[in-house]
Amino acid sequence: MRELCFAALVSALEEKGCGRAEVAAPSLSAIARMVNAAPATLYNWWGIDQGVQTVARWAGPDPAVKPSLAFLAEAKVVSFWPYRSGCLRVADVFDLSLTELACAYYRTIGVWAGDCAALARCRPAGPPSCVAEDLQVIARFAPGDLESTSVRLRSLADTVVASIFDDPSLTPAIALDGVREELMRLLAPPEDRLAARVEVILAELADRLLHGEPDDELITQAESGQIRQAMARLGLPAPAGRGT
Amino acid sequence: MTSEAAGWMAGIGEALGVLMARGPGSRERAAGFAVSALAWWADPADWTRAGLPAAGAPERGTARWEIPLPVSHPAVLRLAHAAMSLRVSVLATGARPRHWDRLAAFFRPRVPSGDLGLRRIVENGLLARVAAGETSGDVLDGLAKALEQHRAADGEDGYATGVARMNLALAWQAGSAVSDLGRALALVAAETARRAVRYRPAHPVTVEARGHLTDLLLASAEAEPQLCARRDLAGQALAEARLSRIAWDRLFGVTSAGAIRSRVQAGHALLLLGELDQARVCLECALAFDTRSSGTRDDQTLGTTFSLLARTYAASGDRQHARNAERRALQIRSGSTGTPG
Repeated sequence: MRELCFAALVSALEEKGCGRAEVAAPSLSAIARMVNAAPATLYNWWGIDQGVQTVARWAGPDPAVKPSLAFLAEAKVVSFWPYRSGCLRVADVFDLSLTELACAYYRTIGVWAGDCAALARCRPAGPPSCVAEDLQVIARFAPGDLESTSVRLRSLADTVVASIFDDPSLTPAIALDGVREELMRLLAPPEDRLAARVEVILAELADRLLHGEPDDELITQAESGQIRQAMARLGLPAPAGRGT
Repeated sequence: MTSEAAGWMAGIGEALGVLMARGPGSRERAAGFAVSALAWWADPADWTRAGLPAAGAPERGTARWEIPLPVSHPAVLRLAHAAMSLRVSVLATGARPRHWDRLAAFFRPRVPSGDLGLRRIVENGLLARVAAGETSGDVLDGLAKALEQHRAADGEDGYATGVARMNLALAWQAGSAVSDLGRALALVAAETARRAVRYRPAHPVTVEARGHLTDLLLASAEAEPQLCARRDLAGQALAEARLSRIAWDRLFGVTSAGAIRSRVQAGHALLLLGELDQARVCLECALAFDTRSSGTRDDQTLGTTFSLLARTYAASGDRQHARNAERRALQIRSGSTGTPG
């Protein structure tokens, strides 16, 4: 079986208590020891004989990047990749809409955070770095400004992961529910949002008719105007009536 | 430790979960897709013996260079659970327990008795029995045991413990004893308050608990012999239903299952308050939204709606409409569903 490379790393993190709480990334030398001790897989991609130097090289030429953190970041990405692939396979087969895809993706982040808690909780705790890139792609199809939508989507991913950390018995679906309202607001196309608004307003009006007190004002002039405007934008004929 | 196959299966299972909001055709296809993934990623097994649909074309989303996962692997149980959730969602309420039992029987000889995945499957089976109207001692004992297990594993405030608490309350509610109804009401009221603090009042988890609380208030009102106390309980139920309805409308839309259920609850409360015209319009409104709903249709809610409409018509003296509505309720409850008219 092809394990996902991180038996030694995950064991070391779990020994430090990661999985139950956030901990700092192991030192470069500790990671190098793991690399040397590990029997196979990712560690071997770098060559087990090279120890610290190999891990250091992983961080690239930028001196600002700490090699141990670069290693952890890569470990997170590699561990998340099959989850992501499974999610995207479903998206392809079932032709998921943008909002469905986003929901599926956030649920996938949630299940990863629960399964790979030791990696996910290692500081800087949270989703793998590739999530930001994926969410930027999703944000391109959202109606709002790309940059601000990307930032908000990333923040929602952090929230989903934090919810799972806070209560590991929480299902990814419920973790998603916690951010669903904002997610829908960010991603729903304007036409849908308008249609939904009209639907909600008409439902609210029906409920006021049903449940309101006899003296209650059913609808204000401003609300009536809003409904007419919304219906006009949807290409619906405005209802005949008095006033506005 | 996660293997590549386990990760794939987890990603597939979670992504398929979003299809629960689609119509029955998509959900059936999704269940078949999950079984294909099981057949591809796990050791060979006869999944039809587990109550799942036959696997379709092999799921070849990626090259399989791995040795397949054993059937006892947690990822396999989890995907099988997801597949069964999709499968039973298109079945009549009465047929669901049998399917969960078959899945549990399939895994029982393959995993330890305390296995978390198996416990979840067994819990779903027990809950399906409650939904189907069975509240035997075995069911109650099983749900009480599940609650204790969750308390020990997830803590008193854990989400799973809260769900187990609600499940036990549902079983008590379905029982016939008035004392059980009182116990259930107290348990759900406490859980609703707990969730409001832990998650916030408008979180779907809290709103869902509020829906259960409304059901219990209505059941308590039905069982209450004193008119004044009955009206008081119905008034509380109406207020709760209104709060839930506003939240569901905003979160999932007016045609969502939660919003429709809240409208039915409001109609029920109005019926108990003697506001017959309003009750009728409210229930008809729920039926109209249900017709427009493209997602999960809850036959139980639909049956209840027609049954309440029948009572409303009967209380108004309209016997013909009452008989028609009652007939529809019986049809739906016996499993022969159709479009509501």
